[in-house]
Formats: sequence, structure tokens, C-alpha cells
Amino acid sequence: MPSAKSAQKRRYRIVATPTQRFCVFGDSHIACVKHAQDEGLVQLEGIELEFWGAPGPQFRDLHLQDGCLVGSSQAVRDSLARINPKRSAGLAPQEFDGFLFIGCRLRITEFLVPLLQSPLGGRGYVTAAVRDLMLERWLEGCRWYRAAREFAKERPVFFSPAGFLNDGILTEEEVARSINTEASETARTALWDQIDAAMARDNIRLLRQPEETVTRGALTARAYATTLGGQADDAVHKNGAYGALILNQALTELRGAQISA
Amino acid sequence: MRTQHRVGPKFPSAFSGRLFSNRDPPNLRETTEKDGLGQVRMSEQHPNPYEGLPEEAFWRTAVAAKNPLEISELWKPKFPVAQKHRVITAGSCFAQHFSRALLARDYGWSDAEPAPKLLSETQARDYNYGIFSFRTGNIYTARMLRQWLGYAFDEAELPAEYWQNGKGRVCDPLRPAIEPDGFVDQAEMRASRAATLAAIRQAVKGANVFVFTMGLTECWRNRETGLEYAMCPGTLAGEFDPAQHEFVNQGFAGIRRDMRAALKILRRANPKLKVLLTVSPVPLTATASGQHVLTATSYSKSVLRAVAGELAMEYEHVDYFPSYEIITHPAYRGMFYAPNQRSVVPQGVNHVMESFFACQNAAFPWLERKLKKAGPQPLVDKTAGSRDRALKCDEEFLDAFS
Repeated sequence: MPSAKSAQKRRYRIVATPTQRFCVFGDSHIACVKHAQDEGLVQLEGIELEFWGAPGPQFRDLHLQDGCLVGSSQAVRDSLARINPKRSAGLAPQEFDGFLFIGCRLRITEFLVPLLQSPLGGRGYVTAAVRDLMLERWLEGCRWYRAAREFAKERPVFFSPAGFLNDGILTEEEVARSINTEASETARTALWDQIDAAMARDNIRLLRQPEETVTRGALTARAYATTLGGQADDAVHKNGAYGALILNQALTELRGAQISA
Repeated sequence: MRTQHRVGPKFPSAFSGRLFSNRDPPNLRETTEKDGLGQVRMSEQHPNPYEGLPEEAFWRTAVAAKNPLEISELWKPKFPVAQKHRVITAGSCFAQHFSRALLARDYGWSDAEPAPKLLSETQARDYNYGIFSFRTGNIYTARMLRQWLGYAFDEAELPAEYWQNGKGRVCDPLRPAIEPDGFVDQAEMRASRAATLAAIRQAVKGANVFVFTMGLTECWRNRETGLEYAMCPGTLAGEFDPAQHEFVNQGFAGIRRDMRAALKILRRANPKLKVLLTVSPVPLTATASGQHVLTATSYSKSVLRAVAGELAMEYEHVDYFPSYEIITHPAYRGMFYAPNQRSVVPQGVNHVMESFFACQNAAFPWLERKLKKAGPQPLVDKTAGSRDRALKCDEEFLDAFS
């Protein structure tokens, strides 16, 4: 594997090969993309798709080392062996033509939701300067966002943060307390634009939560929530339909970038 | 000939017909007198009002004979401040010590305008979050308090005035230092102020006790509109214009008028709200009065102390807590001041707050009993949620890749 120093010196270049190798990396949120693939909802022509990551607590044992992601515990190595046996030792940016980082502990509930709840002049309204600080801390505070930034020095990286909580899981009291159900698309777009600009500075392409999946201001429509366990109490995970929207957008942009290159 | 009586609880007269003690009821007492025939007779007479007063009424026993740190019972609170009560704080710098002390003791200090969770503690403080119950910055004067409450409860029209700082950014004359770099534009300044006014409304309506620390008499106002500024224009932002800006050193009557007006707004918004006044013991940094800063400080604090005392006597729901005396009084020999004779050292703040809670417990013993009864608070398992989440993540992951 190349050292971090040598990796930093090179700028990535998209190689026009008939088949693009694309890797979906993340925590348990990669499941929705896998569901999308299994359900035949994604357009994979010319794409060789692989997954790499680990669920929940094991995900924390993935670290960036010499520009590559490696597992630091046996548990995470076991997870990696199950999801991608040929790459359980580590993930190097040069091994793929593009990456989708999905979930990865970067939760829009921590940034967008409180800001949508405090519109201009309303209670909790924060100034642009405070929003900037929040955004910086949100991104910088996520170890895997920092890893994505390193990968983006080598290859195209798309980042899809963990989406809004699923509708119908929180009690209405909780919703009233924590969600602005009146938040408009315009308000969401303004905040997405801010994230987009910050990520663009790191050469990362933000994949916003598609508007058609959003309901009641800042929740995910039930049609895009995971079906595992009958949606009884999982407010976080999404289903194959959601994964398809994300992956198809990433691949479309990857192909577009390849053509323009 | 009437026998001389020395007053004082522990020093009863040796010449009186009997030894008085401070435990004697303050009613008519027997005294020994001789009539014209030299016959000793017992008669009834009114004792002087100092007889039978408690120990703390006498300087020698309450102050001179005591280690300063053992001076106690300085305050007889009118109302209890219990852990269940929601307390809000505002005023000059010293007010923030109250909120910290309340939080440290698990009391219910209300922060109606909390910092966004994503900010670090330092960033939050830089942007003046969590210092007072709302993001007004320091409210040094009675007029400033009246202004803020008037704006919050629609009793006064919001000022149109705004300032600019050296970077061309906009500053709020009501709180020019609230954003370290100022606001992007006037719209942002107004939106941010509206959020603070909403927080004031919510805080006042939901609180049980409002602690307000009075800080200054000196201020700067707009000659035309009467708007009082949080600080002199031209110091942090804005431009000083002697034709437009005037210095005012407020007097007793004006401060009392503003405080009464502020209390009226508070009462209308929340009839059950109790108000606890304190006076900041921190001397003036500078004076524009033309006097020496030391005598200007003395004037300022004396007037504020007098108004606070008068309001506490006038209103049943208003009380005065003597944090000012605890720090500044010669009995404490200046021990609570830093070498600059201005800053209050943490030991001073701690002693003030210890006195606060000691006086509360003495006046309302059930407060302490309740605390003891409650015992150590059970630790809430905050990891339970994340454990559940981890389990769900595993399920989701295993399902997708099984």
C-alpha cells in the first residue's frame, strides 16, 4: 500500500476503463444499498460494485492508517471478512475508481434538524457565524469524514450522511419537541447548500437526502424506512428504495465525471 | 433613681434587679426602682427596643467577635429556593456565578437560549451562550432591564438603531459584544435579537425565581430616542458622537422607577414569579462621571444597594441577598478580592453561595431535610440508548449480508 505522503502528492485521475470499480463504504447504513442491489433497483452496467465496512460498535475499530482504512480488532476483521473476504485486510483508495461513504456516523439529525427547528427570528435561531462553527465541528468531529477527505485526494468520493429519522417511530410528543414539521424545502436546500460548499472544499461530493424521501419537514417517509422488524422501532435505517436513490445518483455522477474527463 | 441597663444579649446589667438575657420575651419587664422614701418597689415599664434582640443585631457579637468566615445569618430569605424551582439569572457579570453554583448543586437553573449542541464549550462561551438564562449579555442597569423586558413583552417598540464594527459588520447596541465578529447584516441582527426576546418570554413565564444582579448607575443613551446602550458607542462598535450620545449617571429615583416598571412587566407576565435582587460587588472599570473611579464606584454601588433594599421592603415578592456586603464589607478585610482589588476570587464566590444556601436552609429547614431525604441521585444509565442502537445496527447489517 502506498504511504500517505506519496498518496497526497498524486491527484486522482479517472481512468476510462470499460468497467468502473466502485466501493460502498459505511456502517450499518450500507445495508440499504445492498438491499437496493439485491432487489435489482440499481443501474450497475459497467460497474463492479463492492461493499466494505462494519456495523455499529465494530465500525469504530476502523482506522485510517497510511492512507488506508484498516480494522484494529478481531471483531471488525471478522465483519470485513463476511462482507468482503478479498479485502478484509484493508481498503486503499487506489483499489477503486470511486467511493460512496454512506452513514459513517455523520448524521444530519445532528446538524440539519436543530437548525430547521430554529428558523429566522424563531427560538433557537443561530447566526451564520454559529452555523459555520457547527458545520465545521460536525464534519471535523467525524473520523470517517476525515477519512473520506483523505480518500478524496486519490479518487472521487461521494458522501451520503445518515438521513432524517424515520416517520412513525418517534412519539408525537417527541416529534413536537424535536422536529420542525413545517420546515420547507427551501430551508432544507439552504442548509444542504452550506454542507455542499463545505464538502466541495474537501473535494467531496455531497449526496443530499432526496426530497421525495422527506416528509413532515425533517423526517424520512415510511416508504423509505427499513422493513426489518416491521419498522416497529428502527428510526434510523432505510430500505432498498432509499439505497437505490443514493447509489444511482452517485453512479450517474461518476459516469458523468468519467465522460467529462 | 432608675437603674441603668446595658443593652446586649450576652452582657446583661449587673446592676439590674435581675439578669436579663436575650431569651427574655420582649414585653414589659420588672425593674427595681426606689421611691421618694427610699423604699425599693417593683414597677412595670417598657424596655428599650434593643433589649432581647438576637445576637446578630449587635456588632460586637455578630461581627467583631467573629472570624469573618463565621459571620452568619446575614440574610433572612422571604421565600425558599428549592431544587425543584426553575431559577433564571440576568444582570451584571456577577450574576453568572449564581447560575454556576445552582447547576453545581443540581438546582434547576433555566437556560432558555442554550448553545447548539455542536458547539464546543469554548465556542459557546465566546458566543455568550449559557452565561445568563438568555443571550442578552450583561444587563448592567435598571433601564437596560426595563428595555429588554419591554421589548420582550411588546410594551416598547424595538429600536431601529444599529452599529457597525471595524470590520463593517453589524452590531446590536443592546448587546454589542454578543457575537464576537458582529452580525452579517441588520436582518441577522434583528433575527438573533428576536430569538433572544422569545427566550426571555419563555424564561420569565416558566420561572419560579428571577435573580437579577444590579451592576452600574453610569450609562450612555441616545439623546433623541432615549435608547440606553449596553456600552458607550465607539468603544467596541459604533461611533461616538457627542451631539447624539449623552452620559447619564442614574440616581436613586430614576433607578427605582425603572426597577418598578421592570417588576411590573415581570408580574404581569408571571404573577407567581419571585425576584431576588443582588448588587454586584465588582467595582467600576472606569468612570465618565468626572469623579475618581473609587468614589464613583462608591456612589454607584450605594445607590443600587439602596434601591434594592427599598424594593425588597416595598414588595413582598422581592428580596435582596447581600452578596455585595459579603464581598465588599470591611469586616471581610478585602480577602475576597484579587490583587487588582476588583476581581472577585473563586473563594469569595464560593463563600457567597455557601452563605446563600446556609441562609436558605436556616429559614426553611425543610429544604435541607428534603435534600437529605432524596439522598444521592441515582445515576441514569445513559448508555442504554446506544446499546439498543448498536443491537439494531448489527441486525440491519447481518440481514443485508447474510
